[in-house]
Amino acid sequence: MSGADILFDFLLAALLVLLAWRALAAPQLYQAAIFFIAFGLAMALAWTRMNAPDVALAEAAIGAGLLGVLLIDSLAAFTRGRERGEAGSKHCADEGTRARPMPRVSQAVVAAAGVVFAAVWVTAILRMPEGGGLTAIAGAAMPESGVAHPVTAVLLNFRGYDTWLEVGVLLLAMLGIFCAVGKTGFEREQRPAHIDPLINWLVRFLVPLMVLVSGYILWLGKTAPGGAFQSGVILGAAGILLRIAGFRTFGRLPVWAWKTGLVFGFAVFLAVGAAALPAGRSFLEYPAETAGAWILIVETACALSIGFTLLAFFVCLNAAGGCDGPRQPNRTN
Amino acid sequence: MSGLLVTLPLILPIVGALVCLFLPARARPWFGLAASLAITLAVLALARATVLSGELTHSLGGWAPPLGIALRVDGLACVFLLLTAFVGLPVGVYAAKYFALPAEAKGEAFLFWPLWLFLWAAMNGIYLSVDLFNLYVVIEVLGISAVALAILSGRPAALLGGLRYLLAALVGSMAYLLGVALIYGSFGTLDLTLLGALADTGFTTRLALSLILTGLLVKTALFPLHFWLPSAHASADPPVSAILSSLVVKASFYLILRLWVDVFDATLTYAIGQAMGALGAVAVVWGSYQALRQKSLKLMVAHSTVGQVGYLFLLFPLITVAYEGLGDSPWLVHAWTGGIYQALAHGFAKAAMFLAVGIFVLATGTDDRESIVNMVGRLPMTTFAFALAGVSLIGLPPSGGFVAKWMLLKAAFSSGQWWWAPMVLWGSFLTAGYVFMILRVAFAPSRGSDRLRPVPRVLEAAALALGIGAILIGFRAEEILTLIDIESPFADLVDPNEGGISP
Repeated sequence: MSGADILFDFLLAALLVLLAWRALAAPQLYQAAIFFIAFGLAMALAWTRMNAPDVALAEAAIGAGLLGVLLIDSLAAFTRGRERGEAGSKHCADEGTRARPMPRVSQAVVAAAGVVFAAVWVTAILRMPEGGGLTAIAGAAMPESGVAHPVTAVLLNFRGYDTWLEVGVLLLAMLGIFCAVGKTGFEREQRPAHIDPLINWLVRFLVPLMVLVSGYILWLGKTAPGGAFQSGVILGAAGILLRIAGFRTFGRLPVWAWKTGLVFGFAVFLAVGAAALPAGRSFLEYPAETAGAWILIVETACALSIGFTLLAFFVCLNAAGGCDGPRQPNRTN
Repeated sequence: MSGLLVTLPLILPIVGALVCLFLPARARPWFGLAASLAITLAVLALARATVLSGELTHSLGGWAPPLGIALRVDGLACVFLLLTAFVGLPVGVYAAKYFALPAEAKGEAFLFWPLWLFLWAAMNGIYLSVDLFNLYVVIEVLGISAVALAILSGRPAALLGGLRYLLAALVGSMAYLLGVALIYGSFGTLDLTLLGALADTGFTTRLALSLILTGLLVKTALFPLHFWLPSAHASADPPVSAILSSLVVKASFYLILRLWVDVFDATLTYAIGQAMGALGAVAVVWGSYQALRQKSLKLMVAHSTVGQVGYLFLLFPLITVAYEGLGDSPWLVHAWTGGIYQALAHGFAKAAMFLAVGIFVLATGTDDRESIVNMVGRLPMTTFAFALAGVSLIGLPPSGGFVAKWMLLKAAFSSGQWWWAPMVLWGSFLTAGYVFMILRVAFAPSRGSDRLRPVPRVLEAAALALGIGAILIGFRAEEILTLIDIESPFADLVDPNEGGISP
């Protein structure tokens, strides 16, 4: 590692700390959200420096992109509430986007605690015994995994159980959002009377391109960084772009269709995994010869569901926004 | 065949949850209950196989550790799987009726069954998994489904309590994950069995242990990290409160127990054990005292959980001396089984208590402690269920709570750590205080005409079944002890003549 590399890494580390601190200490929540997005991008850079391009892709797409959209949209909801002139929302809009300033003493305590923890953490890393890790074992098992990219092999084959549950976490998060804001978001979705022709043109140009890229990234996962999560996020982003431009997404779908979209990846993964049990294999074990094909099927299903779920997050929260207080009791199905 | 046995407690609830999402609202409770019954049968079959043939393992994806993730079933796992099933079944019956009541059929209550079955799968997943990182993922599933259930009612108080719960759970997960990263960096494996042979007393391992413990203590709500529990548990719907208080906090406790004896036994010291015990002892007194002070019924029961969780942690100082080379005494078995028995007894008693209080609130329309005058005349079955649960929480014979506290006391005295004994007794006195305070009101004659809203009998029966369960497990100690001993770290210390549980 050359001197320039080391200098770059130190600057990057300092930038991460600075951005994190600014995000916490920003007087306006909008500023905090912007700093958070910048932090996500710097973090993605850090992952590439650590030779983890898969994580960098995911961090940039989810940490900076999707979370940024959700944060800014939630903040905008306060303003939307004020514009709609709802009772009591004036107060809410003014108070809502201003961060409560942290007292100096608390700032000092937080900073000191951070420094102490960093010191302890660095000591622990320096004193860490040489464990070796599983790289060699995973490398030896690669020929049987059905794919050529080690990260995909770990995620979809060696530790497929973790990935299956992670896809389930995404589904659960959606159910949690239903609990918090209700499902009215899907029904309230409306197409505006007028869509800016420029935006209309741009979206019609970009969205097919994004779907294409998403498919490419999915296919790439077999041999290079990429795969279901990254591909799904791009798919979701395409959907969010459509929604922001004013197109209706979920409002057009029957209930069973979007429910299927949400559970599809998780259910297909489960079905493929459970089919192994009567055949005498372990849960989530692929047939040895056709592992690659099964992984592709599972990844495709997961990518579709991930994209669909991320779009659902946005649509649900976007339409439910506003300072209306907690959701109205409703009995829907 | 063993693959199916081991994985069904995981697969069944998840299939149930997914199917429930697509069913019409009216069919959901019936399907959910059928799924619950199927899970219970699967767990019973697994427990039977474990008793007959000892430990069972299953490598997921066909990849053995350290590359893959393994599931392992021993006696301890079986005990917690069974607790979840036998508390979950009556709570499910209660929920099926409760959410069908016209007054309660609001909000997103239709999501109860998918979320509860997901939560059940997550708890079973924790009891079965022996992979440090996989446990992190399962804890995430557990945390998110628990928070979603807590805010199911959509009331502002529930949303606020749920948000706090979510933040606490996330901070806990983060701390746990940092610890896991250090462990993987140090030893290059995540499998608990393999790690058990590797864990040392180095600085890195110590820090990893502290981070993992802190994370799990937040989730178990041990004093002083219990701040999120009362508001979250008290603001949820009664069946959800019962599940959160009696089962969900046990999952992270189980994990602490498992890591304590299976992985970090070389890293632990006498001081760490004493510190855990001290926090537990303070929790016992503080939680019970706070419960005594509450005017709201549900808050009282929630604070009581903080106190009862404290008892669970008295187990740690008593079993940690073993690692200091202070001997292989039979009282280790008492401490071990006493702690596990406390988890079981509290599981049944707290579920019964939350369900009973839910019925009181439903009948009177208020959560005020003084509103339940003459309940013994008006809702005798529910009052009886509450009293049975109270008896077990106090630790009066012949309840499950008595067996637990008796064994902990016995272990405290015979190990020479007598200082835990007064804490156990003090907690019992305070618990008796709040239980009898409620019963005093319930037995008081009513003034004037106060009419109750009608309460379905099914609700009362479910609460009573759990209350009876809390007492009955005190009588079935032999079977439970046999189960606990399968592959237990203290199994070879069991003295059959000692038994040690009969009063």
